[in-house]
Amino acid sequence: MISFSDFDKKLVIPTWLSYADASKGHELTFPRNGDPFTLNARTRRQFILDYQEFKKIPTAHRAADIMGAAFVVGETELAQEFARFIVSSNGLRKPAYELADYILRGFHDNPIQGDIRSRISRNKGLLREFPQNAIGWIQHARLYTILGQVSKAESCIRIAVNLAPYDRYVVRSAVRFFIHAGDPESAWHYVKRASSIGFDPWIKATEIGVGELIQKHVKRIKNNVSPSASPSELYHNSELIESIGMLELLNGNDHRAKKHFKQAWLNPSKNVVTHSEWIVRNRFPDLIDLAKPNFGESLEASTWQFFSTLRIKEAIEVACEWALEEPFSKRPFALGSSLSCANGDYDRAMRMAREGLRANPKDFILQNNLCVSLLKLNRLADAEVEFAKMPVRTSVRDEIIYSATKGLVEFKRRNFLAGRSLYLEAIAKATDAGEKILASKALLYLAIAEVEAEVPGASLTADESMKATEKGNMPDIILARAALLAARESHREEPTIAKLPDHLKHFDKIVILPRHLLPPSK
Amino acid sequence: MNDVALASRLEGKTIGKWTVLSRKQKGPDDPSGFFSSCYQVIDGEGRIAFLKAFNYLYAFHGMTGSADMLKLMTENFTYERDLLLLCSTQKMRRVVTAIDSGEYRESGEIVPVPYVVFEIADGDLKSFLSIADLPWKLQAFHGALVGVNQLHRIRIVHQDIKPSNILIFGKRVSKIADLGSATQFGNKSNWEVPHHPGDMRYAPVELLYRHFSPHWETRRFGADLFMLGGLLTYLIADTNFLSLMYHHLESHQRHDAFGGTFEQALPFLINAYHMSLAQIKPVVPESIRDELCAVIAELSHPDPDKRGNPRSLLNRHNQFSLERYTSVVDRLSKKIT
Repeated sequence: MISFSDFDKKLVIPTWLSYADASKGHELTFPRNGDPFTLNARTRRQFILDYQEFKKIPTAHRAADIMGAAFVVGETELAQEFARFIVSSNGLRKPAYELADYILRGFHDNPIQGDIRSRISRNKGLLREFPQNAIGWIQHARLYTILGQVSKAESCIRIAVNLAPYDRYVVRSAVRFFIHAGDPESAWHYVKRASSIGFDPWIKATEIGVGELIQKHVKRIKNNVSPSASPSELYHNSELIESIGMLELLNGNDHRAKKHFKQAWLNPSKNVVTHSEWIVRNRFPDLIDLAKPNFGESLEASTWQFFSTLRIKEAIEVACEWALEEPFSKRPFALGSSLSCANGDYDRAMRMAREGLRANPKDFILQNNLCVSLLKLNRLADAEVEFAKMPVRTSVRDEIIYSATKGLVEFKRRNFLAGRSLYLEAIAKATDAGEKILASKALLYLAIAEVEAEVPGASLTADESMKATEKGNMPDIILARAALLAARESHREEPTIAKLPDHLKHFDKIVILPRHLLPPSK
Repeated sequence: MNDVALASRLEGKTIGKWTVLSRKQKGPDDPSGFFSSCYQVIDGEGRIAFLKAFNYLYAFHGMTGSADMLKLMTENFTYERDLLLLCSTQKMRRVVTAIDSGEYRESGEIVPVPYVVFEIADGDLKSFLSIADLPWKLQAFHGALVGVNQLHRIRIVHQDIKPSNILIFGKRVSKIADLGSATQFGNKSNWEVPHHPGDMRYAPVELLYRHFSPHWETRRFGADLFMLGGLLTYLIADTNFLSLMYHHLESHQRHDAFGGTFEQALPFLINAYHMSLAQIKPVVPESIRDELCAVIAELSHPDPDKRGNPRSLLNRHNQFSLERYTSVVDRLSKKIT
């Protein structure tokens, strides 16, 4: 059984983008206030003299000098004029042409070249030569993390965070890494240290998030940002305001939480957009109009929105993009593989699960999705190998999913009774734990397994499960119901028994959806 | 009174023992000649030289504060002239020093024109680059290094080291010129300001980011070292180190947009610095690559506290001493000849 796992309590934790992506965004900006930069008289004079001299003797070397100088002081048009001269001239060294090219086009030639291993190898060489480069170490750690080499990544992270203990990018990346690596205490240590040196709203927001994650006390902080503050101020404080709002929400102060969220969403960072989508979907649906215009800025938010509105193909496409942005994170791969399974694209589901497992080899959901997609592809032997690797279950939900997937394995082995019994076990566990959605899904997946295996009585199971879940309006229930209908279309079996099997008799009692999942009453 | 300042129309006149031949670098956009105008001059023995005439009339362009401006310009002229005399006295052979100086007056003109005469060069560094090979470039840089080192020995900092201020004599000998922004420790000039007094296009990166070390040596010697690193990079890679670094920064990280502290800027500046070094490395011949790139790296470190000789902390040598660099560059230039 696949799972669309989401957070019970989503905190505002930074994402870990590549340095190139992070520095292109606004998160790493420090807006300059006060007087704008101006050139002194000597510099202005020299520009004119150099220009005249060049007109008299137009050599590539003179052009290169003026181009570089103009570029440094932000005289873009002048820099471009000389860059055009340089690209059409000969005799200069490569860095001058590279600079000219950059000035004219405004971007570097593909900075990411080759696969991860070759990038690691190149980075190693650079770091051997320039070991003081904190950002270089973070980049290196990210590559190791994508490959699932957590201990190597950790060494790099620790070097980076000691070289630049207060840098916003370095500290936030380190925090995200330690949470990924299951060591939030280290995340706490580094963010606390960074926070102690001075106030940075981005670092403070991270501190609140990590503190809440591990139940550490964070000194209560007041939101001093005026709603009429400048867009830039609102943006740079949006994560902090969102974090304060989340704390209020966790403390049961919904009214205050809403007030903070509304302010944070006026000009939100990408991370805040992602969080706002979760808030709207899980807590305050009435704020959708306020949050929705920004969803397009976050791939994670967009994926969940497409999923929740059942635009599955779009959701899969965006999940793939999200996976490229955060290739070490399990979440895009987990959701992407689940969505692909739900869409019947088991091959893609398998690939996404495998890709996600590279960085997260012990992730239960990814391993489960891999097994399910292999089973759906009728690769039983491969699925059995992968099923044997299922990590230790750490929650009741994992146990429920595990039992259901094991049930599917048995169905594929044509041990129908054992399979059915495992599905029933999953349903019982879910019911006991109050996990009504999982119970409904397990029931629907049992029906699908029976229909696909053409088990006698499959039609009855299908009818009963459809009946028991007809009020389910959650996207995963709707998708499972659709999958069951599709399975029945392609396996037009007739019931060979007329009597309701005993195992189905009490489903109408166990699969009752909680009130909040029912359609809103008018 | 003529509309054009006297300092800008000296052609044909006799100033002291010098006859003014022609004006260099005429500026059609500014007939007043900015702060100074430059001329080719000749003396009775046929010796051709270069005359720099200071334009005090500039002070009167602004309606208010003219007296202050005049005072400032006078002080600057006197300071530069005295420094040039000091350099002559100290026999600084790699610094372009004055061979004459004085004040020119003309009847009907209220404002005199102070001037300094220098030996004339074949051209500046840029004039020779298209025909220069690497050994020549390194020797030219070596000359500039020796010149700056001579200044540093008596605690004068140049503060405006750039290609157009390296003059070439006899096609081989390079010297550092233009002490117009220079200042000496303990002998305060108007250029003893926290920001960069010279050409900002080559300014040390920390000053562009408004970081002013409280230590004179770090702030001033460190600035000269950074500009020397930029000059060497220009000779090796045809582009200045600062422009290479900026090429690796996003626009919001550059000094004109960045509003954070220098400490907040350092991680991305160091990243850009390393990427620039990696970019320079392949264009340096292998036989001298490691040593020459180390020189560039040490001179151009974005953190002025880490600039210069990294071993100075161990052996208590002056971190900003140029002695070692002069000998390394000289040796490397001979190694590849």
